[in-house]
Amino acid sequence: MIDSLTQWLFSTDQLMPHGFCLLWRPDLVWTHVAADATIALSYFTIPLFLVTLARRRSDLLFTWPFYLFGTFILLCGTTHLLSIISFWRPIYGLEAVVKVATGLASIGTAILVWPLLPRLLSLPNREALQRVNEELEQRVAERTEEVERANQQLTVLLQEVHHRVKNNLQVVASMLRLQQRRFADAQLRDALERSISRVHAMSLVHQALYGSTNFVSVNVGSYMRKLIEYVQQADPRVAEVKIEATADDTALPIDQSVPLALIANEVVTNALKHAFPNQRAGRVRIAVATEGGKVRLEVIDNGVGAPLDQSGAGEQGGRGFGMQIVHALAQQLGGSARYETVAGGGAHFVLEFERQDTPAERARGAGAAPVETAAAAAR
Amino acid sequence: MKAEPGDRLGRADGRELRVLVVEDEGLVALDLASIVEQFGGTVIGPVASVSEALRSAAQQPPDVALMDIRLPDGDGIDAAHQIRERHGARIVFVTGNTDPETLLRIGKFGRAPLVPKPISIDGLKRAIQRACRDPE
Repeated sequence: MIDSLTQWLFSTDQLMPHGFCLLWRPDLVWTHVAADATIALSYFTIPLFLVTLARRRSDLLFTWPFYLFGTFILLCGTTHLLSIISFWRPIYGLEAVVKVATGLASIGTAILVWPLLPRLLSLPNREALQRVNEELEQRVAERTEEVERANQQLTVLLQEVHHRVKNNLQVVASMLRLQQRRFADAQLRDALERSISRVHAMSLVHQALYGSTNFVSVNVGSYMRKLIEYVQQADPRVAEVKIEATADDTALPIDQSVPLALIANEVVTNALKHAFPNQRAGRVRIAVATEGGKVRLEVIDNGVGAPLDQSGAGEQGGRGFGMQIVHALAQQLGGSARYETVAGGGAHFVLEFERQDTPAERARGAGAAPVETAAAAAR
Repeated sequence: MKAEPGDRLGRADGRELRVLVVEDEGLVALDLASIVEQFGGTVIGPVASVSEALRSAAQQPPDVALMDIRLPDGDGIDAAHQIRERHGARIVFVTGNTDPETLLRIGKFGRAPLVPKPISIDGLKRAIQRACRDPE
């Protein structure tokens, strides 16, 4: 069985090479051979192109037509190759089989390709895609505008909140002062005065926020200068005392600004009230600096040396009340407060604490990491 | 802070200083009024809006007007212009607004001291005195 099949395919007995039909005329034979050779070569490379395309873009809607076309073109090429061979070797059996295979592949493709037509026709053309793109771009632009507007509104609102808080604190201060007037007792009036001063120190923080550009962090240096202005105009008796502030560009979030403000207010007011008796002239220096994430506030005066601990006589409501406040606030900041010994008189107050990130810095830190990883992955 | 005798606010002719208080925050207005009285002035008001301020100034022209800038029905600086022009009152601005734009407008207004909030008693008194000292 196999023998007869092999014979049928490959036997060339009694069969005439095709060249005989062309009377071996070289012009005819070589033209045919050249043509067949060119066609065979092309029909072997074009399927390569189709298969390469199908494999590289495996995301295409369908890849089987490419393989199908590739197959029948390849087989076509093979028939032309066999055509060349049969000029000299009449292997018409093999040639017939290959032709049949080619025929099947071709008719298969011809039939199977038609159902694809509606699907292919329904694909959007370039114009439609461009239109969709433009529409999307416009929607994105509109959304961006909406978001920017909302953002602006939020900024205005935040500004308003700080203004409101500052106003409310002012109302508290006014209430305390109205209350103060009802008492003749000097101790009570003084106590209320200290409370008013503390409320003002807080109010100034919100004023600084209201006037700031980002509304969430306070530039400590400029706050200290405002505090000094207020303290000086509140008590003209201390005209002989110069108060100055030196600060780097430390900016703190609200949660840290308010306790810091209250501590500074406490220490400076105490120095003004008790360190320069009898119209004594002098100087109070406030210094703020951040180094390696640690914030340091110093209040140095060249007065008679009256740190908070020992000013029980001036501070109504119990000894060392002011220092109690300072310690409580320092603890709230997670830091420490102390008076250092000063050679030659005067007082040297030091507060140290770790700086916290503002909400914006925290958000930037959280958002930055994923973006960086994606960028790294894209490289 | 108690008022010292030399601290009293008064006109050159010995009459008491009439001060119109324009402030919409009730307790702050009360506070301002009581500071003025503490230093011997006479308080007109307090009034809480531009319209009330103009009406009051027309009925009882004040010597000095303490003007809040942000009022519910209008701008304090504009109202101050009118009060100064029509009635010759001196103006002292009392405000929490210290943004650059406002400061510029106050500067242009001219000859009107600014008392920032939080108000200090001494600051307010000196501002009123300064406004009064200003030659017409």
